[in-house]
Parts: sequence; structure tokens; C-alpha cells
Amino acid sequence: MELMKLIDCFGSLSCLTTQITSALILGMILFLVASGLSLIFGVLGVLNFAHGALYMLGAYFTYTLLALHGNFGVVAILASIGVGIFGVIFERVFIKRIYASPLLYQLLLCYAFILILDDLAKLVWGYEFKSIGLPNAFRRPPLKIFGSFVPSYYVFIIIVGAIVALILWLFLSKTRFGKIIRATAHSSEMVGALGINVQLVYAGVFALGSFLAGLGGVLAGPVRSIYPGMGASIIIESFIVVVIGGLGSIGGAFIGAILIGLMRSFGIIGFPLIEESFVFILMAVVLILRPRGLFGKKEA
Amino acid sequence: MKKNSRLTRREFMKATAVGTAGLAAGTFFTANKAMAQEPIKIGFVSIFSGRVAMLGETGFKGAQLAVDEYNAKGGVLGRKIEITNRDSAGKIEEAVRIARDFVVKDKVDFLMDHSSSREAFAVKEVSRDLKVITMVTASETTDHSADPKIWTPYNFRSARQSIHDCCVAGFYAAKIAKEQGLTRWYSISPDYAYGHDSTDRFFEFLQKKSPEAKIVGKLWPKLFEPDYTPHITKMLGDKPHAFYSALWGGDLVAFIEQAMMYGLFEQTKFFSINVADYTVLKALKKIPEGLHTGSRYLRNVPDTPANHDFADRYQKKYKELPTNWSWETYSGILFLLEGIKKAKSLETEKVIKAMKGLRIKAPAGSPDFNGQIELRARDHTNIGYAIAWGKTISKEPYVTDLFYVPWSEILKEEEEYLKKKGWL
Repeated sequence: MELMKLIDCFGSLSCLTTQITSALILGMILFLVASGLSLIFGVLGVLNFAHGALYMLGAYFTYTLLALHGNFGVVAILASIGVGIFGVIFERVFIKRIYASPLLYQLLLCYAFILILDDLAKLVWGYEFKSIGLPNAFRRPPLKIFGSFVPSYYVFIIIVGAIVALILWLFLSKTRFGKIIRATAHSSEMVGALGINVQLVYAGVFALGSFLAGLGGVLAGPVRSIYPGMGASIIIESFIVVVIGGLGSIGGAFIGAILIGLMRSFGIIGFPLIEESFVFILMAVVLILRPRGLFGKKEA
Repeated sequence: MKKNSRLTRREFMKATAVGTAGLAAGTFFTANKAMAQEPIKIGFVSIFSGRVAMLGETGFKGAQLAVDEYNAKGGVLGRKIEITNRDSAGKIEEAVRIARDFVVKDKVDFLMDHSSSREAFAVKEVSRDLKVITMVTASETTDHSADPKIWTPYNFRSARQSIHDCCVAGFYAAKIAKEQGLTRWYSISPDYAYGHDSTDRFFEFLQKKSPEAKIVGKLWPKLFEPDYTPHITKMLGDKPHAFYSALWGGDLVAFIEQAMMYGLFEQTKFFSINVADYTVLKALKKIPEGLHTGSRYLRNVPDTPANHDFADRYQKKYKELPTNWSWETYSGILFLLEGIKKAKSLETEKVIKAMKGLRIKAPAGSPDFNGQIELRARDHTNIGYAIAWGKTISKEPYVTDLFYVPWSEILKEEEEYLKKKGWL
């Protein structure tokens, strides 16, 4: 019985280490994408379905920039900023026009952009899937931790994810900009009345959200395959993360993303045939017991 | 009516004669023109957008190459061939609509269905309904042509067939398993019809030749799964001797890159039916050596002048190497046009009759099949194409130690399977 394997795994340090790191890798990339999604929804009230396409752009930008400049660290930052800039343009030119419109218009616009960006990617980079390959610094045998193997690049992803989460939390809770953003989420009219340029806040938040999605794509690029439409694979899970964590909550997105990672990496040990379903079961349980999500605020 | 405009009888006769002659000449002329210039039209349905855009793009290139080569020699029955494509985006209802529109509005003479199996089963019903000959060039699922309940005489398949592939795969794996004592087996395949069909058949053939092979686990990640880390760590924990995979395309590339980071291939032998396709090989930054793989398309499978020449012509025209889909569509056009030639007509019933059991020389033709491929009369599916397994190396030709199973044996195994299913 496979269930016994799950129990055995909980008793084995090496199995625990392997599965927890595996959960963290899935979780961190998911967190980067989902936190941007959550932030944009929390402040702008826009359900950005095209967020997965921004993740895709991050990966493609990395692919192109790496051909021009060999250093992965520099490329990672440039590519993420590139997606952030794209996000601002997208918000200023298109999203801005539909803040007052019904939700359906948002969905239509975002969905249209998924199709447009996918086709654009096909025109620019071709229809074939691309693979970046591991940066040279990480081309080495996996690290051995407690008798289990952990690839060094994955350690890097986990560290970057954790640092970003920490910075994001400090930024939103400790700085003046963070306070303005939170205030805008609460009441944009009031913030506007205080003489703060709300449009600028909107553009800034969209840029930040896009930057995070781009960074997710950048980090995933070397280990996942890159193709037009790759955003579709992550957008659904990101929405689940946001639902579990609570709409608009960054802390919730962090916990939600790691919970999904854990569900998948331990689910597959005990129940390999229905591993995928645990993510949805988790979402259903959260929706029943706490419909606003783990860290969601009550509707005013 | 003008007044005073009565024609004399003579004038009337003259005018009529000239007019009639002119009309007749006109009709004759246009009819002749139609005979000489009205092209043979083929409608090509496939996926050109999203994650599997490569299916449509490289498939169409294969078909276009064949069409261009025929046109350069003056076409067929004195008529040029014209092929147009449309994108179903992988949606069943869209593929059906496109197929219908091609026939009803665009009046194409033939359909070429280069869809995934999902849409192909639906497009098959269009061809049955509208009685239009359809060349199926991508759906590899065995049932498509083997299950008599859904069979239609209007469908022909130039694509490879899962059961043939799996037979060679299983026999090859059994040989290696015996040599190296591989008894604990695992699998990781995409969770849809093709993945299950391919994996189950593979294990049947493996265990038939190597009964001591035990299956200790099967994993079914969803199609287009971006991250296989949980699956890889699960396999590392269960320590199988070897595992089989029907993952393909970008999914396979991602899986290999991720598995290499964990050193999975050093600990267990990998048997993947789909590595040896140039799209996969090209995308891998570093091709791991010593993986066992089936050939999708390689210029040295079959290692014949005809196949090398095909790869060269394709590469010259498109600046890239053919894929599995390119040879499947190329063969499809060959079958169709040679069928029309033989029938000396475009009439459906005549062309069907001509294509039944049609054997032609083709790049894909296996040497033990005389370099030919055949549309088997019984079920209208392709046999005789080259299938090989071997070990990967990092440089061209990418796969060595090629292993073939004679077609006589493949056909015997297929027959046994079909009888077991009650389909024969």
C-alpha cells in the first residue's frame, strides 16, 4: 500500500528533506506569480488573467538576453525589470480604461491579451519550445543534505523566493509607499483626496506585480520548457493560491503557495494516482471553512 | 423593345450561328481551362497556435514540400495541387467546423486531418457524414483505425500507429532488461488517452518477452505539467531499475532537464519513446548520453538514401530538420496523389479503391519492407514505415546501436492484440 510509504517518509529525515525542498521549489515560483496577482487585485481590483502571459514573457526575455549577455544574475534582473516596464505600459494604455467597467470587460481584455501575447511570442521567438538550460554556475552534482539530494539551482530559487517575500513584506508594512499602497487598496477616493496621485500608485503596483510574475518566469526558465502559452500552466494554480491565501494578501499568497507545494510533494508519495486532486481538495476545504481565505479580510 | 427592329430571317440565322458558335467555343474553352488549370484542392486542419503550434507548423511543411515537388513535375492528371491550412487551436468543435467549411464552402477535394487524437475522432465523423476522403496524419491512437465500431472507409492514416511503436519498444526494452537484469520497472506518462495506451501496451510487450519485469509504480502527470520535481523525487525514493515514459515535446524536455539536476539517469535506466525527434534533441542544452529512445524522426532511421535525401531537401527548403509530423504528412500527400494517379480520377469511390492496399516507395519506408509504405487494405492504416530504438549520444546522428523488429513480426503481434480485443 502506498499509504505506508507516506508514513515511512515522515519517519525518514532524507525523505522529508527531499519532499520539503521539492515543495518549496514549486511553492516559491508559484508565490512569485501569485503574489503579483494578489497585489494587483487587492489594490486595483483587477483580476489579471493575463498574469500568466507576463510569467511567459519573463522566461522569453531571459532566453533572449542570455544570448546577448552571459551572466545569469544580470540577465535575471534585467528581464524582470523588462516585464515590469511592459506591465506599466499594459496598465496605462489598456487596463486603465476599464477600472469603472463591469468585471466581464476585464476578463475579455485580459483574455484577449493572453491570445495576443501568445501569438506575439510565436512570431518573435518561433513556435518551437525553447530551453535555456542551467546557468553554468549551477551545473554541478546535487548537494547532499541529510542523505537526500537537492540540486544547487533549487537552493538558489528557494533563497531568492524567501528574500523577495521578506522584502515585499517589509516594503508593504514598514515603508511610506507601502502604507500608501495599502491605503489605496482600502479606499482610493480617500487617498486621492489627500493629494496623492492614485493613478501613479496604480501604475506602480501593476509594475511591481508584473515584475514579480516576470521574476517567476526568469527563475523557472532554466528548468522548465518555454513555449507560447506556457503561462496557462501557472495561472490556474496561482488563482488557487490567491483563493487559499485570501484575495489581496501577500502573506496569504506565501503560505498558500507553500501549502500547494507540500500537498503535491507529499500527496504523490502516498497517493500517486490522485496527487493533483489534493490541491483542489485543499481549496475546497478552505472555501467551506473560511471562504475569505486564510488571511483574507472580511468584506466591509 | 425597339420599334422597327425586325431582323430578316437571314440576319437572324447569321446572328444565331455566330452566337451559338461563340457560346460553344466559350464553354469549350472554359471547360478546357478547368480541366487544365482548376487545381486539386486539399484542406489541412491542424493546431497552429498555443503550446503545440509545432504540430501544425512542421506538419504543414512536410505536406507543402510534397505538394511543391508534385507541382514542379506538372501536378497530377495535368492539374496543380493546392493545399490550404486552418488553425483549430486544438478545439474539437473548431476542428469539426473547419473540416465542414473546407468541404461545403471551399469545395476542397480532400481533407488532411493533422489534429491530435482528441479532434481526430470528431473530424472522422465529418468525413463519414460528408463522404469526403480524409488523410489522417497525426493521430497515432490504435483504435482510430483498428476499432471496427468507429471505422469509416473515408479515412486513411499515414501517421504511425501506437501499437506498432510499442511492440518495438517493448521488445527492445526486454532485450536490454535481460542483458542488464532490470526487473523493477516504473513509468511516467501524460495523463490522457495516448499516454495510457502507450504505457500499457509497452508493459504488455515488455513482460511478454521478459516476464520477470515487475511494475512497481506508475505516475501520470497531467499534460503540459510544468514541473516534475515531485514525480522525480518520488521515483528516487522508490528506486526502480528502469522506467518508461510517453512524455513528448516540451514536457519531455522539461522532465529531462529537471531529472538531470537530481542525477536520476545515473540511478535508473530511462526508456523514452519520444526523445529521438529533432525538436526535442535541439531544445536540450546537453543531450544526456545512454538514454534509450524510440525514433520519431531521424535522418538515419531508416538509414536509406531516400530518407537522407528527404532530410536534405526539407532542410534546404526550411533551414531546419524534419520532425515526426513532417514525414507523416509527406507520406500522406504521397499516398493521396499516387492514389489519384492510379484511379485516374478524383471520384471518391475510385480513389478509395485505388488507395486500398496502395504500396509506394517513400523516405519512411523500412528496408525490410522494400523501402515502401502501404495503406493496408483491411483498415486503411500505414504499415512498413521504419521504427527503431537505440541509445542516445550527444552528437549526430544522436542515436546509435539501432534495433529494429522485422515488420512480419510486428504485424503478427498486432494481429494477436486485435484478436484479443475482438476487433479482428
